[in-house]
Amino acid sequence: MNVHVTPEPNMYRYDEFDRNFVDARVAQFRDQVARRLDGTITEDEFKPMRLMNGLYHQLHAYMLRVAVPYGTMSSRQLNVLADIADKYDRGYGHWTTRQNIQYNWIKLEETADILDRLASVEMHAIQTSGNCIRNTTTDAYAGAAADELADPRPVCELIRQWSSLHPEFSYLPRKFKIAVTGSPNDRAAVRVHDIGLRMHLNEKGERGWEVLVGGGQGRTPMVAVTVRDWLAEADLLPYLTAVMRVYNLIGRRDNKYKARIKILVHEMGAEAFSAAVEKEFAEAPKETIEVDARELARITSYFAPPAWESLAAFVPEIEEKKLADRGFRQWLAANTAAHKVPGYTIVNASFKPTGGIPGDATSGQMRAVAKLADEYSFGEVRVTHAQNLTMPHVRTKDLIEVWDKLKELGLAEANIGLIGDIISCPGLDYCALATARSIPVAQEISTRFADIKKQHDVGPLKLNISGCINACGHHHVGHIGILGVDKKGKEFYQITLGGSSAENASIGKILGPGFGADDIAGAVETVVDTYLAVREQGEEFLHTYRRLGAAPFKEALYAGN
Amino acid sequence: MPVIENNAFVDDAWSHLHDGDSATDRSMIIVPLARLDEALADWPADHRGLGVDVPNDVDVEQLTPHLERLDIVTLNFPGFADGRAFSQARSLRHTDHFGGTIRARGSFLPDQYGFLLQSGVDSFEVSDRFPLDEWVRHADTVPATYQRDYATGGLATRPFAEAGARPDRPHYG
Repeated sequence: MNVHVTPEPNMYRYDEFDRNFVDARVAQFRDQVARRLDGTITEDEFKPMRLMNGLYHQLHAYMLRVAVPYGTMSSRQLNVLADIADKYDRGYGHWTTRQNIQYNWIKLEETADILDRLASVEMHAIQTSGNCIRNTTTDAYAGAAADELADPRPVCELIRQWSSLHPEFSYLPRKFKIAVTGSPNDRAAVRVHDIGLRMHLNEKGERGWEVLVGGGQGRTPMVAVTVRDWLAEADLLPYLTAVMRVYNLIGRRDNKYKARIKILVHEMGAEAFSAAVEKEFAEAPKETIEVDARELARITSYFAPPAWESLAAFVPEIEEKKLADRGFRQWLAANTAAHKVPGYTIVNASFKPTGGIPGDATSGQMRAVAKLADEYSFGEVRVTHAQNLTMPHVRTKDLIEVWDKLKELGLAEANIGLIGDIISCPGLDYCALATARSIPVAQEISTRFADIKKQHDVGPLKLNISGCINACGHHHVGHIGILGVDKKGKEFYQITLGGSSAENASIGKILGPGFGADDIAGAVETVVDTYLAVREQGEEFLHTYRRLGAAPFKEALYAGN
Repeated sequence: MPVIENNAFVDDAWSHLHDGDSATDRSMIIVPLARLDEALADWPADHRGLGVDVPNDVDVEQLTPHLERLDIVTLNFPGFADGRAFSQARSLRHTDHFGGTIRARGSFLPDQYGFLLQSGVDSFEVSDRFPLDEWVRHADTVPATYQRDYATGGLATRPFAEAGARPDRPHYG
C-alpha cells in the first residue's frame, strides 16, 4: 500500500486563541528562564515556574516532560518529537505512565527553543509537573474501543482548556491528576487518580459522569471514593471547580507527603468531604462556567470519527495466518484489541523489547511509527498508560503487513498486558528521588521471561516497578509490584501482590521481606511458578491471588528461611 | 510598604491596628480577624473605613454577614507557593459579591500578579524588591485566558463558538 500524503487525523486543532495562548506561555517561560539566569529571581522562586512547564532537574541534567494531551497525537507531532530527541536529547525519549513523553538530557538554555518547536505543531509542556492540575489522561483506545460508551476525549479537551493556567488553581497544596474513561472497562486507572471520571448513560441515552475523588499512589496508596454517582455533563466544570476550591483551601500544606487530596478525603471522611464539595457547588454562582453546549459541540466536532470504510469483519487470510503462524497468533492475541467498527482493529506497538528499557523510544522508532500511522491508521497515534504506542484504526486486512513492519522495527514483541509489558519508573539511573535502580530489574525480569510462549501461558499479568516510595512505576497497582528501597547503602526490593488499577482497583499487599538486587528476578519467577502450580483452569493471576491470598506465595518464597 | 492599585503605586490610606490599640473612633483601619467582632460592636453601623486582615487558613464564609460594613479585606501569602488566598479572593468576589477592596499581602511574586487580578485581588502590598514595571507587565504576559469568567482587563477569551463552526466535520458524540 502506497500512501504519499500525510493524513490529518481527527483530533483537536488549535484555533487562533489556543495558538496565541501557547505562544504567550512559551514567551513567558523564556522570560522566566532569562530572569533566573540573570539572578532576578532565585532558584527557589524559579523552581515552581519551571516545574509548571514540565522542566525537572534530575541527577545528570534537566528533564523535560512534554504533554501529549490525553495521549492523542498525530504522525506530524510524533515526527517533531523525534526531531527534538535528535536535536536536543541523545536520540531518544521515554513514554510515561501519564501518556506523556519525557526527555532526559535537556539543557536549560535550550528549553524555550524546544517549546517553540513544540508550539509549531500545537504541543507544549504546560502543567506536566508542579503543584497544579496536570495533563488529563484517558483510555488509549478512546474513539476506537469496541466497549466504550462514547469517545471521552472531547471532555478531556474541555478539562485541558479549563485547567490550563487556571488563575485560582495553579498553586495547589500538591500535584493534581485527573483521568477520564468512557468505557466500563477502565484502561485509564481512574480509581487511582486525584479525580477520576467515569462516563455513564442514563435511560434517555444522555451522558453523565461518576466522580471519584482521592485515589492515588505514592507513599500512601488509596483507591478513590465515589462522591457523585451521576453528574450531568453541563455541571462538570462547576463541580470540578468546587472540588478544587475545597482542596485548595483546606488541603494540608504542612507536610508535602500528606498534601494530596487523598489524605484530605481520608482525614475528613468521604461523606464530610463530599458534603463540603456539594455545599461549595451549590453556593458558587455557576451560570458563567457551566459547560457551554456549543463549546463542547465545537470541541466534539474535531473528534469526528475518521473516514472508516465499510469492511468485512471476517478476513479469511487473517484467519488462515492465525492458524498457520503461532507468532502472529500470539501477537494478535496480546497486542491488538477489538475496534468498534467491523473490519478495523486497534494495534499496539510494544516498547517493551526483551531486556530493553520499558518505554524508551529512539527517534528512528518514532518516525517509523509515524510513517506506519500515516499508512495504516489515519495518521493517528496514542501513548498508552503502560508506556507503549497505539495505532487506533488499522484495517484488519492490513494486520499481517503491519505486523511484519513492526517486527522489523523491534516493536512487535507479543507481550502487551503480559509479564513482559513491565511498567517502570526511570529509577536511580536518572531520578534524583530514587532510592534504587528500576531499569536493570525490569531488564532482568524481562529477560527471564523472554519466552513469549511462557508469557502467554502465564496470561494477563501486570508487573510494575518503582525505584522509591513515590511510586511513579505504579507498583501499588501492579498484580505483581516491586518497590526498590535503600537499606544501609544496598538496594532491596519488596514485592507486593494483588494490586490493580482497573475497574476493580485494589492496592497490592507487601508479601514479606525484600530481596537483594541479585535475587529479585528469581523471586518474581518463583511467584509466577507458584501461580502456575495453584491456578484453576483459565484463572488469571489476580483472581488466583484474590482467591488464595498470599499464603502459597509466601510459602514458596520464604519457607525454610 | 508600597501599594499597587490599577497598575500604579498609590498612597496607602489604610493602617493596621496593632495589639493594644483601640479600634474605637479610628478610621481607615484594618483590624485582625480576631478583633473584627469587637470593632464592629464598637462602631456605628454607618461608619465607614473599616477593614479586616484574614489569615489564609480561615473560611472567608465567616465574613459574609459583615461584608457590607467592610471596605477592604486583606489576604495573606505566607509563601508565594501557598495559593489559598487565590480561592479566598475568588470566593469573596464571586460567591459573596464583595465589592470592596481585596488586598494581597506577603511574599507573592510579580509572576502571580495576573492570576491574582483574575481571582479578584485589586490591591497589592509589595516590597520594593521589584520595580512597578515588573509588576504591571505581568498583568498580561499571557494575554489570554480559558477561564472566561475570571478574565480581567484586556485578557482575551475565546469567542463563543458559532453553531456549525466546523461544517466540514459532522457532529459526533
